[in-house]
Amino acid sequence: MVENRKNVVVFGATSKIVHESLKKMSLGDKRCHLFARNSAHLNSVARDLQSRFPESGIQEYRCDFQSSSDVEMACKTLEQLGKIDLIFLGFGSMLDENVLRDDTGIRDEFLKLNVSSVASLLMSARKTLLGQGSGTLCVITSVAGDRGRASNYLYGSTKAFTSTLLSGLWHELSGSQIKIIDVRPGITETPMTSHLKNGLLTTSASRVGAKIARSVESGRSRVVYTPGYWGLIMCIVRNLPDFVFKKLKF
Amino acid sequence: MALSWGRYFRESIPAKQISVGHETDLANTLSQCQLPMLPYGLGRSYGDSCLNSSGALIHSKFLNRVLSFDRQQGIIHAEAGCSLREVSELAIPSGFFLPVTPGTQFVTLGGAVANDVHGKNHHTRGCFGRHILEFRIWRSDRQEVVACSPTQNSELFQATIGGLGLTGFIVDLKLQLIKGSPWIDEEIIKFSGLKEYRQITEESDTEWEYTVSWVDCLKQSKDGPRGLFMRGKHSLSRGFEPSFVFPKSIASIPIEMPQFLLNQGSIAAFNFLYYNKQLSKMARRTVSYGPFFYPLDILEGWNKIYGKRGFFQVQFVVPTSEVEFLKDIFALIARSGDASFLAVLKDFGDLPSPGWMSFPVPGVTLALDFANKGKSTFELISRIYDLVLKAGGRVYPAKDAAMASEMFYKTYSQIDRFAKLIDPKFSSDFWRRVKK
Repeated sequence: MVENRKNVVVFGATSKIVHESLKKMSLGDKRCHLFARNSAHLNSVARDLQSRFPESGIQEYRCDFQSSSDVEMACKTLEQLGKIDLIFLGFGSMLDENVLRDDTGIRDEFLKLNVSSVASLLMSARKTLLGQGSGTLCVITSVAGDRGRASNYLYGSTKAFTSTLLSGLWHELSGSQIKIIDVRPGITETPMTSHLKNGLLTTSASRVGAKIARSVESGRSRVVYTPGYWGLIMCIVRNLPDFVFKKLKF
Repeated sequence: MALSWGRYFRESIPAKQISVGHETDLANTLSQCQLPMLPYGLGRSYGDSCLNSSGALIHSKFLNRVLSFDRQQGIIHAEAGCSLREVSELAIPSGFFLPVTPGTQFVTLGGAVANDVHGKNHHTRGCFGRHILEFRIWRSDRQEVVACSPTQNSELFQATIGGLGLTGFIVDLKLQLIKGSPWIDEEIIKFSGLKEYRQITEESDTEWEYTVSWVDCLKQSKDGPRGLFMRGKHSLSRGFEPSFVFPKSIASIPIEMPQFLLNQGSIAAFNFLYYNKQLSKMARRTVSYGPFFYPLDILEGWNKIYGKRGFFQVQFVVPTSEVEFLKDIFALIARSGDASFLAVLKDFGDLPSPGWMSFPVPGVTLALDFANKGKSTFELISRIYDLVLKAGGRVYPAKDAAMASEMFYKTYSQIDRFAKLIDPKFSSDFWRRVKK
């Protein structure tokens, strides 16, 4: 019997935002292929999704996105699966900016993970989606990529890299049925940001996940800010003239 | 800064806040922590039982995965940071319901165990702890996660239920759900005085799964307050449908309100409107579980209505026979003019909890809020507690901000055996305040 269930491929399944998004999607009886570095953590995520979607086929793949061979394995797996409904990419890291600025070794590894591995997987996704002529590619970047800021430009620049790549990919594929979604969360409460102070603009991973699920299901927007008010905030931030921007310390 | 729900203990600032993303983090985080630790869920405890000044707060909210859900037996295995809301929303479409729920669904499973929460069905189902099949808890003295159940590490099981998070960090647990529709057939009956309250309670307890009363603390007769007796049961004629709308908040209070908003005049006005919201003596309807169990959850951040000074919630239980003491307490509250609109009265049943430090005992429980007006509020609470002690009752630690050590030791007979099982590296503001 031909396996004709749709596939969902997730790179970075242990990310809180990714997991909250998957919880809100209609996974139904789809086959979910979850890739992440920490096997035990990945297993907990898989068990959670299986509990919520008992008809779904959940498969776990251990993948260290900092390892070239693991990334190559992930690309090969992607290209060998049947029809793919959604490729969802949400892995990455956030490190102390001062350390990134001073330590070449740590910075090289950081860039490998957040730039090089991302590029490899996105090009593999491009090939796969072009081959089938349809499907959705959803990638989590950040509002930090909209404009470089003194406090986090190394982190921000990796997100800007991804956003620009997605913008170009969207341009290339805009005549087709393929949907490209660039999700830019604002400050979200996750284990990755738990060292940062919560403010009025901090939102929950659950709220961000719900918006991502809605955006994937509607497929209408190319760039999704979450919560939506970040769209306005970043429009202002992006367009502030330099002589004003330089006076802001953030 | 992590506040408790009463927003009173503002000077309690933890030195460190650690978030646990997964069980595999425990070795790098809790094991290395040199400060006294305390788990922190969603911060719904009113007093200082969830605070740890100058210590470390261990946030469980990212540990919110469901590990399995047996849809035949109604058993859910989930991480301790899952909220009751998340459990409900998963259970309800399969015909199941929480066996016990407090007045908010924004409580974690770990928090529900630590406070051994009770609900409107205490007289039929007892406390939350009665429905726990097992849990796994990290202990600093074992440097590992320990499985506990009624038959395995049973003393730690009993010490942890109602143990205010002091016995270790609960990682995950298995909960037995009940079968029940998300629609509740509800009846609301007006009553005047405790005699009528007692009569309706006796009529209701066998047939109705859920019972609770709202009382108007400002309007007293010789027989105590007037109020509305609410009783409910899961509907047998209406069940879950795919179109069912789960409860959500409809508004949010973003900042602390000015204190003059809640005063005797506004509260008396609210009480009048609330008591008279139905014209008839008895009203019947079928409602969704949200408005029946969680009326306050529709207003996110409702505790900010009490303003910058915050508020206290007092909850105690006194034996049913001590009705005169209860009347004295009501009279004291009415004279002070300090009551709030949230006064809740209920009879506890006699189903025992496995928890040594569990609060409910057979009797009548009253829970109410007092805006923090400073010294006069503390004096009022102190006088209420004196009467509770004289009546042979006790106070709920999950809500307390003012109980004296002596009273705590007098009213919780298992405290010494509990204290021996407190994790040596765990502590809280509450425990440091009350321990000998």
